[in-house]
Amino acid sequence: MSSEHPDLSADATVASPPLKPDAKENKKNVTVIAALWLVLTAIGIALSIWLTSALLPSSMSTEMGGVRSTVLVFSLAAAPVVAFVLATSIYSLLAWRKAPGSADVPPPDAPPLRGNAAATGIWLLTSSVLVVFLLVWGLSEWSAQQVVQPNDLVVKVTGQQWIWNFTYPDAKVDSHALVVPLGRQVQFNVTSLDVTHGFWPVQLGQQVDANPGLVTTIRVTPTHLGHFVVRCSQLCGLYHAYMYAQGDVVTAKAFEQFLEHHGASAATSAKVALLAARQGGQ
Amino acid sequence: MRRTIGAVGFVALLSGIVALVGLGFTNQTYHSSIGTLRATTSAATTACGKPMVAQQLSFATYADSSGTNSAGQLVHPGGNPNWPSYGPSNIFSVKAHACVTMTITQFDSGGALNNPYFDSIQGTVGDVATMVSNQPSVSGCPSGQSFTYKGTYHQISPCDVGHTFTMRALPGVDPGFFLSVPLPLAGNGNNECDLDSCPKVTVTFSFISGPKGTYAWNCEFPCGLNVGNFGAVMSAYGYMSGYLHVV
Amino acid sequence: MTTLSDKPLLEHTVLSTAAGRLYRRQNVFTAIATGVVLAALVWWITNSIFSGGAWADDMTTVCMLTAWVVGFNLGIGTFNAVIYWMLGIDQTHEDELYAAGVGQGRKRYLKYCTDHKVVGTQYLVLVFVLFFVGGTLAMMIRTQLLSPHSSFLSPQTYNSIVTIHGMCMIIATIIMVSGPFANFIMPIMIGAKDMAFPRLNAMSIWVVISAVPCLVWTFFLDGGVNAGWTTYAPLSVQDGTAMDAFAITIIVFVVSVTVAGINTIVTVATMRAEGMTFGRLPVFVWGSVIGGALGLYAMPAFLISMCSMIADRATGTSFYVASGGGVGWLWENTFWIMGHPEVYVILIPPVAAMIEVIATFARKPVFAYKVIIGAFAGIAGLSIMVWAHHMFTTGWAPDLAGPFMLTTELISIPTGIIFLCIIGTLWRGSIWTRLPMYFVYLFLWNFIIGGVTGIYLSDVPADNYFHGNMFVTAHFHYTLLGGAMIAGAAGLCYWFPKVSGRMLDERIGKVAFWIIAVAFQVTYMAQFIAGAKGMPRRVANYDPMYHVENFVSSLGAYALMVGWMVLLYALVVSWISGEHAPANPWHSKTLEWHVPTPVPLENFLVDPVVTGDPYGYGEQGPAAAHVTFEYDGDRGGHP
Ligand SMILES: [Cu+2]
Ligand SMILES: [Cu+2]
Repeated sequence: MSSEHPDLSADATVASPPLKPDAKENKKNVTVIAALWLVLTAIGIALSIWLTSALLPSSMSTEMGGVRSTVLVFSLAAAPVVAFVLATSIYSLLAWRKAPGSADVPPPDAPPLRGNAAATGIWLLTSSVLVVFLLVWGLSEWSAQQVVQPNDLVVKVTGQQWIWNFTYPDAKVDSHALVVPLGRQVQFNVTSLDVTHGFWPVQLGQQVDANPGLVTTIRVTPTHLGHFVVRCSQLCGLYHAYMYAQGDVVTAKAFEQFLEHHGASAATSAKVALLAARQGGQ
Repeated sequence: MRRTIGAVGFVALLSGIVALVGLGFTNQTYHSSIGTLRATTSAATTACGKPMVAQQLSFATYADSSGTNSAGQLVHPGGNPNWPSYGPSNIFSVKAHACVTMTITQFDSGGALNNPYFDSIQGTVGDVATMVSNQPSVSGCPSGQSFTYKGTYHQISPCDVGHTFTMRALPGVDPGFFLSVPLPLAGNGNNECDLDSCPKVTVTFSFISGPKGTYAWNCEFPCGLNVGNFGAVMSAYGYMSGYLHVV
Repeated sequence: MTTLSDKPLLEHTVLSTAAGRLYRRQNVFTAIATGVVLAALVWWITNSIFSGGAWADDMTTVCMLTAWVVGFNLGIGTFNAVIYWMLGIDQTHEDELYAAGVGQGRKRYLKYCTDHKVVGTQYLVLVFVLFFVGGTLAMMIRTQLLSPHSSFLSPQTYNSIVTIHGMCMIIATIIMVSGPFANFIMPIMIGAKDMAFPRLNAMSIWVVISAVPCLVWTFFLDGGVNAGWTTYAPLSVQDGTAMDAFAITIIVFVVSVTVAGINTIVTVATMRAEGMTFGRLPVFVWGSVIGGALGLYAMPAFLISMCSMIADRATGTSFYVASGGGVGWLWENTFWIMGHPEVYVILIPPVAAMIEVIATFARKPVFAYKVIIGAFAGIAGLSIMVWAHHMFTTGWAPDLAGPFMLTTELISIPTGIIFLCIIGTLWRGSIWTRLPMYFVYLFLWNFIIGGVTGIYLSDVPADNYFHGNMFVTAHFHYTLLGGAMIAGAAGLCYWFPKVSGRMLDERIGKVAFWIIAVAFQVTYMAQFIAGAKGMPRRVANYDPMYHVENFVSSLGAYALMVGWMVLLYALVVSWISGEHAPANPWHSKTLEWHVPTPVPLENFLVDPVVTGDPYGYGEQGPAAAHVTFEYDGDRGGHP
């Protein structure tokens, strides 16, 4: 075993590499990185548009429309940033990779650039502008979702291990499937009888947890007729995977028929009242 | 070269350990001494009011999952004397698009549901079932309503439930399928009791099975412990939960 | 030039046969025996006291596992010094040398050893054991998800595997860099002879080792923990006794992290060599201190929430149970007050380690040194104010959606600085593409994807779609596995020659790298797609519409596991029979490369004097050399 301290002054005789690149090299660096950046940004934009439309479910509500546009806009905003990081790191490998003299000897030292106030400033400024943009976009989307429309429909959502059921308190109807009318804002009052569940009507683009002893609220305005799925988004034990329900957005007329079909019998209204009492007593 | 062989061997060794752990975790036993309980087909060519294959399936709910039933079968291998269980199997198999008649004998006591929603029958033929009970009527809730504990029923009191047999398809199989049958309570039952005087309720209902695939069933009566009485037996797979394979 | 070849090394001191007292008889086997005996005894006592009572099972499990942890630590020697001190017996210098491992050869790795390098190595082995356990469980999950309606695992087994996979990986990643490298490397980097509290250092590793059996034991208790690693109440209150074992695991782990964090901070505050000013500290030292300090903020919340969890379960309190006036939101808040800072406790040390790697292999000073330190501090500061973004969809405090969106999105500014610093350091560098550098480029790719996918989740309206779905799973695997673990791998390959004394077989290492790099993308890109299409997380069965994505993800995951196994093989085989490493194979400037390999006890034969920061690549003069060694007459060296 050698207990010698390695020699630190080995390359002290070598002159420092120049801090400033020569103009020609600098031009090459900037041009190639800019070109790479443009190409990658274009790819990023194309991917953003294609993926948003191909992957996200088609919009069935104002809120899902908001999700789709947010994902698209954020992806477009991120594309140039991602492209810049990738362009410079790819270029660093292409242009600055140095073959060492032998396997165990490092390449000669690079210019000791210890920082660049302008680069740091521009970087901070750009990321701050992007953050402000994200925040403003998010807050405006969010506050638009807080508006309560007149004549909204209230649906009580009850989660329990491992089934959803839905109560229409005005009509004194309960159901295993969630049926909502087109074009009318629906307010979901969500609660749970045991553990925390996540009420997630997927294609409606909103979700909120179902908490025992508490009522949480979300609102959606369905904009397209069709079928959607309600899933549970919060791990709730054994049959969490099977905790789903079917949903339909139907015309106002079909909605009336649905309520009539489920008939507000005395038995049903007694059950609805009993369930309400149970939840109140939690 | 030596190191290449070494790497392959090393990866093979570790993968073998992973595979062994996998074997240890496998769900091979079905928590049943008799394996899958398969429905029998009867000669009838018309069932559920239509020309279709008629299948029958009988099983029971027991108060003591560590015991045996009158046929001497283990209710639930490795069961717990304080936990009830469906038995003697929790995995069922029926034919697709058939009229399946299930007979469930309920030997267990009960009480009130967490959610009165499950006091009525959904998804059977006519949304009704038939019960043969030797139990006196139990005072019901909600107050002011009376329920008869014999013959054909659609709804029972949400305070007189022993267990429920509640079933839906696995995601994507048959999304609209939903079956839920409340089984009335039967007093403190005895697993092996076959006498008429023993407290028991026999519930029979028919439903039309859906397309091929797996369906998950469970009980919605809170017969466990802890929060919502859905801990312990209710959260332990295989006692109050299982699968129905439609083949 | 100092020549010290004939200087007697401290570890060659011949100790009397009494040195070390009780330590002489203690090792991991006596620890296990004491733990088992005490646990059995306490089980018998508590069982006879509480038997038949409403909380008997929980009470018995809690007391028994506490006894195991106490017994194990009694048996290994954690409490020896305290007991001697209470008895009025002072530890002699010989006792301390014995505790530091003198004269015990390899056996010291199985003992309560106060040498920071032994502790670091013990951590490294533990981290690999935990990664192997967590990875094996991940293979179970992915096998179950190969087909939509698989019944390979029962839903209960599946949930318990999801839980322990998560917690095992969280524990492993928290200690993956702060354990091995903040212990082995960091003290040498600042010119210290050991950590400030060597006995506490040994305690931190043996305490966390005693917690691991409790975590694995959950599988054998009442069907496991079904509530996920987040163990949201009241689901976790509903669980069986496995949840008690889980809570004990966490409480014990918190003790370890706290002790380790304090030790790191005090070491850097008090043990720096002459001339090692704060402005000259290597970035990794800053990362260790900031990560450790953040852990000290985060972990008490976990301790308190787990204690009240045990109280709810074993004594009938109702912190989290609605029917008793409690609320699950309390759990969710305390959990994420721990949980969000915790992801940066995981991330900051490996990223800081990676920045050392970049400076060395780009042969350039760290770009914007003060800015990156400020960014770490900024991340740490902001990270304690973002926790409720995990709760956007819980319904709790809807009016705080705006403020928490703000803090969450603000954190992308200091996180962006990390990219600036990396790109700036690479800029016009002399890129030396050795294996550690491969992982740096992989980190850049993974972490930019992890970061960008995070902005959708930070936005309340978009999170209302993505929360609780596979997109989130893919996102945090991109940041924690693709980001933190890959950065950790860069650090591991970089420091391997110093830690093991051998060179890493880079040929096999590069094979492993390419498998990991490609398989990782396949695994988690597929999960992003499944999530975007609406697949919920943590489900044992799923809609066949997500079959292709899950099938591809599972194949990717198998390949990923193989990749890590190949890397592990490269490490093991190099450690056993690799080429002997020179003291400074990378020609790096930080101090750990200027002590001999293997590193002697107390590290420095001659005290170092620091003359500049450790990044003077391409610079001239004494400052560029970072350090000179001064003859220290007290230590008997030969100048
Ligand atoms: Cu749920
Ligand atoms: Cu039941």
